[in-house]
Amino acid sequence: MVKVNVKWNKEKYEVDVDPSEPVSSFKGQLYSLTMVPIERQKIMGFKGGILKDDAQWKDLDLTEGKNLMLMGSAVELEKPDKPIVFLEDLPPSKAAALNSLLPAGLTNLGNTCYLNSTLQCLKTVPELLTIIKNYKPKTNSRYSNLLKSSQGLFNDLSRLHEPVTPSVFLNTFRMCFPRFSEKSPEGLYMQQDAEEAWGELLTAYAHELPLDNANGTDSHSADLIKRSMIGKLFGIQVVEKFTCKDNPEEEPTTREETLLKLACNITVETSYLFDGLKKGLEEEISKASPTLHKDAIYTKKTLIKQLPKYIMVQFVRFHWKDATKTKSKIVRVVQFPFTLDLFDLCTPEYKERLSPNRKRVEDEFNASLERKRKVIGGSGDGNDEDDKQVEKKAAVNNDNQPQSSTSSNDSVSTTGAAVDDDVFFKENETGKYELCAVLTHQGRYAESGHYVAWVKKSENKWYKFDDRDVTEHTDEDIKKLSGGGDFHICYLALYRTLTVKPKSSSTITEQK
Amino acid sequence: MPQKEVTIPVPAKGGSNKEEDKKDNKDTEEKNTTTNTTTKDNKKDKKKDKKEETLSPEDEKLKNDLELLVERSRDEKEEIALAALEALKTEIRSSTSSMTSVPKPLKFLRNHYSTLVDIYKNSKEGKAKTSLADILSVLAMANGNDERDTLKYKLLGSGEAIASWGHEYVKHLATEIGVEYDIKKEENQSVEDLLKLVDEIVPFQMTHNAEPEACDLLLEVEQLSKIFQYIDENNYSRVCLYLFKCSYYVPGPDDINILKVCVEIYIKMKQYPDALRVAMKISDPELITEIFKLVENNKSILQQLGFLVARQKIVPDNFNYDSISDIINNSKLSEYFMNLATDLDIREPKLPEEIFQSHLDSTSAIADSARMNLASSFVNAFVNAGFGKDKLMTAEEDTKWWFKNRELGILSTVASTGMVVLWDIDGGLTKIDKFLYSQEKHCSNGALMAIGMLTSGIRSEMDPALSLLAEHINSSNTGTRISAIFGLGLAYAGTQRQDLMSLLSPCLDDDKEKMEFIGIVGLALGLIFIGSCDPELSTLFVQTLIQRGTAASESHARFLHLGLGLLYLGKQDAAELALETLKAIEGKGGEYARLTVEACAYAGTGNVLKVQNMLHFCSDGQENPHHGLAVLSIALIAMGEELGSDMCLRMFDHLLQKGNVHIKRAIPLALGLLSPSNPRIAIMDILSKLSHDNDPEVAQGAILSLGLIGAGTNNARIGGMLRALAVFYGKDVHLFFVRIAQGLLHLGKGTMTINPYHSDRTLMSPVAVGGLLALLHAGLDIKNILSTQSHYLFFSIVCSMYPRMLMTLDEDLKPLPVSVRVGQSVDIVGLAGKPKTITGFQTHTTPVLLGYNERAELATDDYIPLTNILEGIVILKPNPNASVTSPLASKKN
Repeated sequence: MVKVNVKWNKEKYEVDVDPSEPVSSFKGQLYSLTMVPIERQKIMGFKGGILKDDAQWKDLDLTEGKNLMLMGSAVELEKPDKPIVFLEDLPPSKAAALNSLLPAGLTNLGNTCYLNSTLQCLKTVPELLTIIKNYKPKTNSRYSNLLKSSQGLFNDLSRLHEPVTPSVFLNTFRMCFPRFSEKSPEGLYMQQDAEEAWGELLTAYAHELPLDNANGTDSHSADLIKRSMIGKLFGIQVVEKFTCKDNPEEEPTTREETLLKLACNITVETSYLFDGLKKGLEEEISKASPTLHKDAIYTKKTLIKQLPKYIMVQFVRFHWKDATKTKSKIVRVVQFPFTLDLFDLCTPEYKERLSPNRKRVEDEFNASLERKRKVIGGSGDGNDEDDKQVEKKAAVNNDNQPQSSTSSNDSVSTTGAAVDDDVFFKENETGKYELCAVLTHQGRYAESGHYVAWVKKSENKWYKFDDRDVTEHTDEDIKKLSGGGDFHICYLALYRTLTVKPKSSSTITEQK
Repeated sequence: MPQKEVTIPVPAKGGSNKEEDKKDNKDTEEKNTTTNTTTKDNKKDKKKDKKEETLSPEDEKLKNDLELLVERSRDEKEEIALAALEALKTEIRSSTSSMTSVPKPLKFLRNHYSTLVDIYKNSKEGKAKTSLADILSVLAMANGNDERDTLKYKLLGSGEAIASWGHEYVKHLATEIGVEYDIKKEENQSVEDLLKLVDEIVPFQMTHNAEPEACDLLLEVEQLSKIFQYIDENNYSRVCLYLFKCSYYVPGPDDINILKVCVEIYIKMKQYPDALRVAMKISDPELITEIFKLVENNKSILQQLGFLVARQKIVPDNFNYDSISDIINNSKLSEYFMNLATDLDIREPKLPEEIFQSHLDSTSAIADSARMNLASSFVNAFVNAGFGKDKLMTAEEDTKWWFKNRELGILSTVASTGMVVLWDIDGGLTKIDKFLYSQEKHCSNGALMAIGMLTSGIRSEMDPALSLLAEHINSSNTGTRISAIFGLGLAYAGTQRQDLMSLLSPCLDDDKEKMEFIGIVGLALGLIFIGSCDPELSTLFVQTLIQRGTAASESHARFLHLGLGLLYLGKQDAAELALETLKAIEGKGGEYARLTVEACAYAGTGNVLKVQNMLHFCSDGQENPHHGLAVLSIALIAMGEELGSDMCLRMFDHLLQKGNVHIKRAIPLALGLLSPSNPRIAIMDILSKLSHDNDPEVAQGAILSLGLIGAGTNNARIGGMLRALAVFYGKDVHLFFVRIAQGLLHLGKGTMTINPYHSDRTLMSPVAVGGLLALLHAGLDIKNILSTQSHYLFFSIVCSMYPRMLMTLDEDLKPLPVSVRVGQSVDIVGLAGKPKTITGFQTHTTPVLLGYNERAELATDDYIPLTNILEGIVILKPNPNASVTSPLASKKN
């Protein structure tokens, strides 16, 4: 017996070698010590390199106390199941696409950032894209060309991953709305108000996209919006109540109206979006009083009768300054929430309709909290996942649902305007909204400065569309847009419905 | 370039020369005025009056006295003359003066110098005459002509003690002796009398804080060995330091002689580590062994010496070093490094993304890009080098990262494991093992390379690298052969093992293999036999070059040429023969080989003539791709010395403006070679500018070099530059190099250096130079070698890597934390007394990191270091005379 020291992986073993036994039995000994498979044992320390299986002990310099080293491991190298596709192996176009899975930006064609950012914001409304896509051109209508070019543009935007140049669209847009082709003394196109562009575009779309049952294009504008698909998506139906201040005895009059935006009026007291909204819905106007037979001061109180799927909020930051003859900006900080609850601004009747839903959503939330607590106490991985799914649903749904509806629509869209099903234009059922796009303005005047669109992609992930440049940002960056300095300041904000589970929607329809 | 031919080079001396010049000017001015007075030019009368008016009564008296004495010395009577002369001597000696003005008696006597000379000529032999000669000798000093009168009259004089006339006189005399000696030597005259004088002067200088002057004098009269008699523990360090630095400016073979004297002095003073350092500089194996034998019985010193040779990666011949084999074999290097890592709390592995700080530039990669993954592999290896743990290759749960690479990318990725587990033979091999069994050829090849890399610079009696790799050298797959041979090259660089020669050299003859294979074989052999001047190998290399004919000008052939050059690294004249034989090779291949061999032979010598040769070659006005090589060669010759590299920078400035594209492409690489791991602002600026060059190869080279100069420093400025470059080059090939540079910058998480100079920047590690050169030669054809097929050559840098640490051990080799001061080093060559060696220091507790320009000294007197240069691993022994009152000491205890 010869005693040798074998070193393996920082461990040392003393092994007795029996020179009468073959080398393999020595390896067997090592296997029992280290679990290294015999065929993977490499023993070093003898002259002539690695110890071979057919070597004879007598040929080796085997001495008492010899130091040997064993290399080997029982670890198998694993190979992934599917081969990796490398960027370099892809055709150039695909590689470019992969390289920037960022959506396409829009080229600035000379002070057209107001339009670019407006378009990028509107693009976040998948329903709008669908109805525009399904638009069948009609002859002799005013905005048919605009719709057609929009079709092309939105198609490009959603398909491509490189900047798109909207020259065709811009031409038709300026043709339809000549006031946007205003030029500066130097002959350059001038900067415009994004909100005006937004409004004009939606009105034009509304004009061309009536609901099925609507007939004719000659009815007056408020009705027109109400009875269009745009009205279904963006139209806020409100009740305006006029109370005469000068003559309290006069019977208040009411009027129904469809708005495309909510205005957030900014005064020195406004620090939060909601304050501004409230103020915007309560104003004093002067109009002819039937009882007093003269112009009198009325308070106009607006309450929401029905909430649409999407709500655009305008921060009324520009005001006409006579001194400078410009629309100058209020840079005051106005915080805007990521989820907006408009319940308080609704009519009592509407509130009544909303409450059961709100309660249910709340219950569900509490229930999920409860479950979560249980899971933390217990130990079920599966449950945990379920919970997460439930929790995420609210967020994920926003992403998924529009797409699914888009695809479902594609199948029915052969009938042209057959898109007015309940799910598609489903109104808001809880009064709760979440922020999905922000249009900011940088600069001191409406006619100058720079407009940029910030669009939500997924949880804590936003895209910033600065003309052709598209970059990724987080919620933190969005919070910085509330104003106060010369940075980008939120001017328009687009909120979309916080969706609830489909089950609830069926109950709602039943109630209807 | 430093002036090689000048024998009195050191700034201190230059300064005093200037002073003398100034004085001479003053003298001539005054002389003019005095001649004016004698000619009694009417016009100048006023001035003269004015001057005389300024004389104080004492001066006036002195002047008159002196004149009287001069007059007397003319006297016929010898006693009177003698008395007058004695009086004169006393006057001269008793005059005290500042350094900058001529002593008054000398000044007043100047007018009478010629009179005195005449008197001397006319006087009879005798005491008075020799005495007058003494005076004339002194006066000649202030008279400042080229006749070397001081010396002449000194020899004619009475031979009284030199010291009696003061420092300035001795200095003057020493200068004249130097000149006279050369003349006499040329005319074959006897120099006995001069040497006698020297024997008198040197002891005076040695005892009066003028060691540099004594050395200069002895050097000039070729009597340096005489210095031994005057060495004591007070002056030896200054003498040695001065001689050591002098040797840089002295042409061979004198420089070696000077260094040998140094070694002997150190040995005499029992400063064995210092002696060893100088011996390693000479790279004289016998001398090294001798020093080891001297300390055989002193365990601690022996261990300290062991650490020194381990850093240089050499082994003393014919010396039984069993007791310190662990040290010399570097077996514990990994352990010490991990100790440092633990102390600095940086053992946690880092991901490449943390280095890129990609969260800051908001571009996130979506698809796997093979090139970027490869870059990440490299960065991962560089950053986690030596830590034995990373998150991609050796992680507990298999990340399958290696699979996310393509073909050769897999090779490099798997090989990178070797760098992660660097130096750790025990623990590392197991982590590589699984890759050996992969069906994927590139993967198993990578494992072979990893094994080689892991054992780089570490010796083991088990010889794992050789045992495991040998059988693959003659594999049927070229890739396998290349990996195994390159691995062997990395593992055994500098060992000069004969068994490897017989194993590898037949591969050079393999006609079937492509140039890439032959190149790698050549490189591996060059690394293993670096600086060996092996004639057999040299012949074999030249033969191969001739046989390969035109193929010898292919891109990969450069490594064969480099291999040949490495054989002669730093061996200067020894390469002449090889250079002659290379002339037989026609064409570009031969040219490349000649340039490489010449540059390697003079690497780090600062040889002006060789630099000029290279410059001439660059300026022939043609478009020769080898111009780039010449530029790199300039840097190679000039590196390691501050003046030389500064001059290089100036030269490169011109070359950048006027040179062709090949020159331009090589300049960033040359800059990288000039100051690796030493981020000098000037170089950083040039590189930053070049990194935006329109020519992609210039830009890529500059980016790579940014990594090299910052390697292992974590330099924030370079880091910022590279991050900006990463954004700027977004999707170009350049990004690959930016990533590599970022990895290099954080080499070993900022704990390693790739600078081949160590031990207070005096010793060049040949292996480290070899590693750097392999990478830079590859960089000369960045497009065909580094960015495409042979990126594994990045790993050649592993030869240059070493922790830039100071670790202190007690006599049992256990880590011993002590407080040390770390600061910028100060050049103290030629300074008298005990000047501060560091400035702007901070106090830390060992182990600490040392920058390129930093020095450390113990902040406590509880311990005595066994070596005077605190760098690398230092053994401390307790100081028996420690001051107990020291607050630091009490805190420690």
